[in-house]
Amino acid sequence: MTDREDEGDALGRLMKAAQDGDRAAYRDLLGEIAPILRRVLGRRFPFLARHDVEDLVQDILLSVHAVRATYDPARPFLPWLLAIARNRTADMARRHARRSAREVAVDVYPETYAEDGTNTGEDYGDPEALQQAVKALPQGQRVAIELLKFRELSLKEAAKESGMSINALKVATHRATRALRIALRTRDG
Amino acid sequence: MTSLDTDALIDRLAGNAEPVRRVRPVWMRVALWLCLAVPPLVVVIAVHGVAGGAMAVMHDTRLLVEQAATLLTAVTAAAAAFASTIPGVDRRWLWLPVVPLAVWLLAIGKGCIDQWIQFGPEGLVVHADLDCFFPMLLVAAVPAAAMLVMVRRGAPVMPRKTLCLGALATAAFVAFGLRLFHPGDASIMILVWHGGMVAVVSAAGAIAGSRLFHWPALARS
Repeated sequence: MTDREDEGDALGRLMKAAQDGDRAAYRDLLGEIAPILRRVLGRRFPFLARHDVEDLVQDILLSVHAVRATYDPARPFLPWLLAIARNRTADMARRHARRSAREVAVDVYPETYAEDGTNTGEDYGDPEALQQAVKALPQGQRVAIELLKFRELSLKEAAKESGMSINALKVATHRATRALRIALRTRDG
Repeated sequence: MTSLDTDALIDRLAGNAEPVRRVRPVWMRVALWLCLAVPPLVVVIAVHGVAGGAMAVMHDTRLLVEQAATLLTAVTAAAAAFASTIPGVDRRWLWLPVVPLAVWLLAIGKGCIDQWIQFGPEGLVVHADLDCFFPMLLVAAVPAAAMLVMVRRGAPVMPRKTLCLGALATAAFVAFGLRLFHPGDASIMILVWHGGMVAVVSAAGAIAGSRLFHWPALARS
């Protein structure tokens, strides 16, 4: 009998005990299979970051937990475990492919105009002054700016959270932007 | 995610783990499914009476083969559906219904050819026959519901195939039952309505597979 078969048999016995309600055996089993899964996933997907592998390991452990009633102690344990791992990994790959199809990865953010002056990126000038100016806004305008610009909620979400109508939010944002522009220009002199 | 999170997850899963009842062996599940599926059929036959066609089955080898193959398709498709919910199972289980299904379709096909030879084109006219529709729904409802509940006890490692096979089992069982209480039809009617029903229901099962049968969303923390 090979080491792998021995290991599988031992895990099968632990799972049998776990199915019967032995929590200590179940903890041992999950503790034993987590490194096996890390090893298998690491070998199969060498390009995955460590946290992605850990994410997958957790997903597989949850799936094992959900379907532990399907393990038949008369059958080898490792093929059962690896079939679940393959299935969950394929699901992850599909999810990843769907997400990638909707997103475009770029190294350099597109420029609106070629001139440097129009591509200031994260450079907002003086963030302290901006905060002060926002604080000085009337309540409705401040809420609109915080929800729509700082937290980047949609109009619908912001309306739901603030209790304001979509139109009121649009008007308040427009007025707040104008007021902030004036306040910051005045301050910069 | 870190391995510390994984350790915490293991502690949580093990700490809350209750004993589970093992999923029974495949053939035992098939027997249970048949035990649930047969009583509604018996009730419908008791109300409707046995069709004259059913008596003819006993004297016609082709019909006998057709009925045996239909029932065998139901049984093997049910076994394949249940087996497909066990992770790591031998995939040859999935091919189990192929032979009885082929025999069933060939038997119906032969019936069509016989009728073509005997009656010409008139032997192959298809018409709607709705008086068996409601009894058919009654016969289908219990095995369909039982199949869904029973496969969901397993693991959704191939949900589309599982539901497609489950639908095939149910549709074949209904086709077998219909022959017993519905007056004998021309083979072309069987091919179009029964074969069509099997194809449509199986395709619907395959399409709805991942919606009706998926991994439970368990919280990580």
